[in-house]
Amino acid sequence: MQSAPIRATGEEPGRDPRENGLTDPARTDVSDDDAFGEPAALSPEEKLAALEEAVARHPLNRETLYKILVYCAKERALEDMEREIASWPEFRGATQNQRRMAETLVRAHGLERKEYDADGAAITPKRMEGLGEDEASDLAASIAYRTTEAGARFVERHRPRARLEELLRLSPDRAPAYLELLAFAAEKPRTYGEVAGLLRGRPVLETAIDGARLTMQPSVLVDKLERCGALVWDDGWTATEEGRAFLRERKAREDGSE
Amino acid sequence: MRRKVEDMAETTLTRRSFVKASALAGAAAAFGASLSGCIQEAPEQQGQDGGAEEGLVRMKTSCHGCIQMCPAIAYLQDGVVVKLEGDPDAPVSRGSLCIKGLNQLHTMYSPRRILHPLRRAGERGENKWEVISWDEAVEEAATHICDAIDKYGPYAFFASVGGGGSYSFMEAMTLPMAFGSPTVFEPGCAQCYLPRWSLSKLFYGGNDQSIADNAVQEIFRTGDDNKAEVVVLWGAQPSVSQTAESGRGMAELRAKGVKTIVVDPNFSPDAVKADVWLPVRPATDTGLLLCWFRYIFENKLYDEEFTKYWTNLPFLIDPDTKLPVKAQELFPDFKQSTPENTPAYVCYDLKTNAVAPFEFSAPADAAVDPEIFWQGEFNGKAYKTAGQIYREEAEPWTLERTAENCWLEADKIEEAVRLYAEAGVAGICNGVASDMTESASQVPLGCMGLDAVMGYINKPGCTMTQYGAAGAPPTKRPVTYNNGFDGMFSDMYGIGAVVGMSDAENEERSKKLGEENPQQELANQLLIDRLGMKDHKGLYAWCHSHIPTVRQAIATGEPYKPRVWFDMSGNKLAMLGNAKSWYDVFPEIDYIIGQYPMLTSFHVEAADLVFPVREWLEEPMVNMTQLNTQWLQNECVHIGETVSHSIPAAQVVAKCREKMGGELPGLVPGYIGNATEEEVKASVAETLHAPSWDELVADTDRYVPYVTPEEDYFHYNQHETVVDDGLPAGFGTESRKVEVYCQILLKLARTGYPFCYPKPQEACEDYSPICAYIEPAESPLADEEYPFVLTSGRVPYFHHGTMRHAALSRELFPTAEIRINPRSAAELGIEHMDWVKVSSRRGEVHARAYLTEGVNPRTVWMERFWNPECYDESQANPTAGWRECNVNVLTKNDAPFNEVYGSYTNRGFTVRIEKSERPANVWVEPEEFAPFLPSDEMKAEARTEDVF
Repeated sequence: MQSAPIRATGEEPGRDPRENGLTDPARTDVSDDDAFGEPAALSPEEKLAALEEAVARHPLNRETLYKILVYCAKERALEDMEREIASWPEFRGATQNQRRMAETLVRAHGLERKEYDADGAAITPKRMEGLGEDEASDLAASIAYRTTEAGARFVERHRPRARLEELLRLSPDRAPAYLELLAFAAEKPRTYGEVAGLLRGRPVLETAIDGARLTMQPSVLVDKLERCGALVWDDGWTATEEGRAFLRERKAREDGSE
Repeated sequence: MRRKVEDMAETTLTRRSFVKASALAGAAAAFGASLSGCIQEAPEQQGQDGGAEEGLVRMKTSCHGCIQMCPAIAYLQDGVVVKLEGDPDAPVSRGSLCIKGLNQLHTMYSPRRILHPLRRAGERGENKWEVISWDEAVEEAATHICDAIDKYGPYAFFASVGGGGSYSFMEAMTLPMAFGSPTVFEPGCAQCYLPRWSLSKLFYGGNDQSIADNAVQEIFRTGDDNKAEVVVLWGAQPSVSQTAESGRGMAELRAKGVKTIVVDPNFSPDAVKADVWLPVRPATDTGLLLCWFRYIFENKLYDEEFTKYWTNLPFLIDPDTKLPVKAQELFPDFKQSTPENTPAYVCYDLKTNAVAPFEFSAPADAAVDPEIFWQGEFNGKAYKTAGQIYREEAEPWTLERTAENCWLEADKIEEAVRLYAEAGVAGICNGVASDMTESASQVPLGCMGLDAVMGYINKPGCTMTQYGAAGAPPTKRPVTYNNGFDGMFSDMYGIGAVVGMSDAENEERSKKLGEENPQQELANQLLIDRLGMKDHKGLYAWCHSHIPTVRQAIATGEPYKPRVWFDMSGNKLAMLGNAKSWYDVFPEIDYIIGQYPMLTSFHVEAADLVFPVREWLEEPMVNMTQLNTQWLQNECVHIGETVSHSIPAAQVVAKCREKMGGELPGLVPGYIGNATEEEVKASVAETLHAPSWDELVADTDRYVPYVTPEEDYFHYNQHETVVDDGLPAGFGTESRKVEVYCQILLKLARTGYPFCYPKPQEACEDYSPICAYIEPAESPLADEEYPFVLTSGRVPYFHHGTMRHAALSRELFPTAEIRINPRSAAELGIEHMDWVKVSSRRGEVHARAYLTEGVNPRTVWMERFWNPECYDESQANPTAGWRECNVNVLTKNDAPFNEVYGSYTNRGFTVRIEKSERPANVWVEPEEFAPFLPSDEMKAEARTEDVF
């Protein structure tokens, strides 16, 4: 499957640029449960689009939301999920707690919430019929989440490997620097100062924007690799497992071709 | 939830009295000629037996409904402010208080106010918040800032301010410097005041002509001291923008018989009362200015002696460098008698009919009689004088051509220019209009240039007359500090050259300061790295970034990504041009911290954390001054956990310093802002010359106003004063003259001089040193798809984006209106008060059609910054109001920008109009604003102690 960036900004294809969606809810305007539409009423593509939007809405939550979808490929109890997420370095700067993030993904059609009674039996809509709010709440002894089909499609689309390959393909002139930086961070966690020291003065930081020659900050490369899920801040910049795997495989290929 | 309007009747300010008072405030300004004298009523007996104020506590304070801060009196009952009125002792406002000031009774006790720190509880766009403690809030903000700096370096942080009620200009400017980041912006700045303010420093080292920003004072002198004869309002409407102060002042002038000329596409209240109204096509003011120059030159109406000896127009200009030729360049053996800081130039001497050195001196001592308009050859090279260059630029702008191009009448232009040029004294006042166009630097060059060639400088009754400490009779050769807001931060945040010092003096100063402060390398790097600075170097003056470039950097991540945002005031969705383009990049910003007395649609859509700050009835401050008087903005009341505007950032900075081990990565001293209320109050007391805050408030009448004696405040003809080098003082420019040919703009473009010094910035295209015509990029002359040209301005009910939650003002002006000429409306089938859709190339909004002959058939006019803020639990509105009627959805924030300042186009772009239906979620009926009315809960809030 073609990879795609987790798009946060930019024009929507095919939309009249003058049409500012006066009558549409804004993309970050969320009004409770109807923000992403009724599941049954949406096509698979619409669900995927809603999920893209929800994940991209807040940068500090973006990678964690993606990883939740990966983690919940198997059904996960809420407690397990909370524990697991708490161990992720990406989660440390998040603006929401684990439960809230999971519920965001439920509303965006990426996760399915499952509730069980004290005996471990699933609580179906039929069992809820006729129950008041408190009774329904009492009935649920545990909650679990599982990634939906839309969620699985999203994961497939945004795997770090795919994002990284796309990044290297789109900016081949910067590719060696990206790979060097990734390898640098794979050796041991690096402070930003160390990263800057590695890159400062390199031609790769020279760029032109609207015809003006400018010097980029080293953070530009860090940011792009982080957005690929290849770098993560864990008391220093370090390569993610996916980033390391990419480097290993690339090295293996290069070794094999020699 | 929703309450009826009648429920409000219990408050002292009833709906009826408010509407009546508001109407009077507007009328006083608009119809000043007929009411003059009538509005100088004796103040009512306050708190006397049987009076309306019996039993009320009376407190002197100042309004902060706009930046002019008129002195006011607040009346309290049981700790609640129940009445406001103007202070009759104020010399310009004279007891007036406009609708914006009266609004404070609503905004102070509005249910929209926030009294505690809020952390977002839901998604951005959801209006769900969690109340947290100040400790938690400061910790959270500091954690996000420190995390971002740890991960991405200091440039990850950025700050902003602006949007009305903005008290944090200096604080916002210095906050990123504390963290070592160059990024800060204000939606105003290049679009509001910076071009006029900054150019006046470069042009003649003096005050600018802004009547909207309290710079113009001389014309408001009272009684016989007022010598004004003709006042030109060029793109300003003080009766609306600053109703009670300069609006009132204008009314008094008209009543006194002063003639007024108004240049404004809209038939403003000041235009209604003007002797001549020139409804110029939006954003073509440079054509009209050049027409005035042409007429004045052609008819020899200029002040010949002033132009010859006090301006640089007689100087020969090198055709290769475009700079004035120094005497030594053409006359190598010439020995100048003036000091090194006062160069000698070259002119064509009418006494000898030859090119000759032209030394600075008093006119009577001049060795030459310089020709203003000359061109010829010298040593085989062709030269022109600066005056000749200006005359050639103006030459095409005949009355007829200007009338055709600018949609005016030739005889009206002529009437106006004769009125202006044949007066004994006159002066041009301007406002924000030109700042919001690509001509942002050219218009003030033209306005100041006209006053200069007329000699309307430093005379009684002129707008370009210096006053106060800066206008005191000089004892030395005047110099002009430019870096960091008039040199205030010059040595702390980048040295800069001092204009008027010799090269050697500047080099020595720079070396000394560099040795004293090793951070100058970092300061210089921040100047160079500031976004958009390379092309728009005029932004150095306020240390601000170029807003469209910041947006682009956020969107693309290059050349660095501003990602943690501390916004210190206002509603950025209402203020920023092309608002939706900003909305689109919110998901690229990691963390957004806001501070404001209330939640706006910006906070609902974007902020992750909001600090509650005080309303103006709560915050100690010193007002903007009225003439030679300074007044107190008092702490009349204080509710909740709100703090003065400087405090949240100061607390966060302190917490970040602690987290970073005691040192911040930025410049020292870094953030300039008080960290506690005690510091705020001590500062206010000191400014008003009181020994302490307690003594100040215990005896307010003794210390307020603080009056500078007239003889120490008002001065004239300063430039003629002989100073310590035996020469007349002149002006704070390189040539010591008024640089109508603003040569320093060329140096600025080429090296960043005087701001970026001693290390030069990379060159960009030259900036024009004189007023030159620019046809707007979206021109109605060539646009068939969008046939109308839209411009905007204020209405008297609101200041910038503020007060949209003031219920009774909203009743008076409930929703956006667009002024359309009836002929055009008829062609489109639009009737008065019909809803119309207004579309530009950026987006579309809706407004009600207000049909008036007061705009040209091809011009339409809207209030700038309109933003309904109509979210409320009682009414479904997921957009919090910013999309429906906001003129900034239409505005143009892409190139071409003003060359010097990067100003984008908020006015003078093209639109299409069509009849439409009323959009959903827009409130119109009075009862719909009931949720904005002051609540009993808010009025019952106990007066609280200072948080910090």
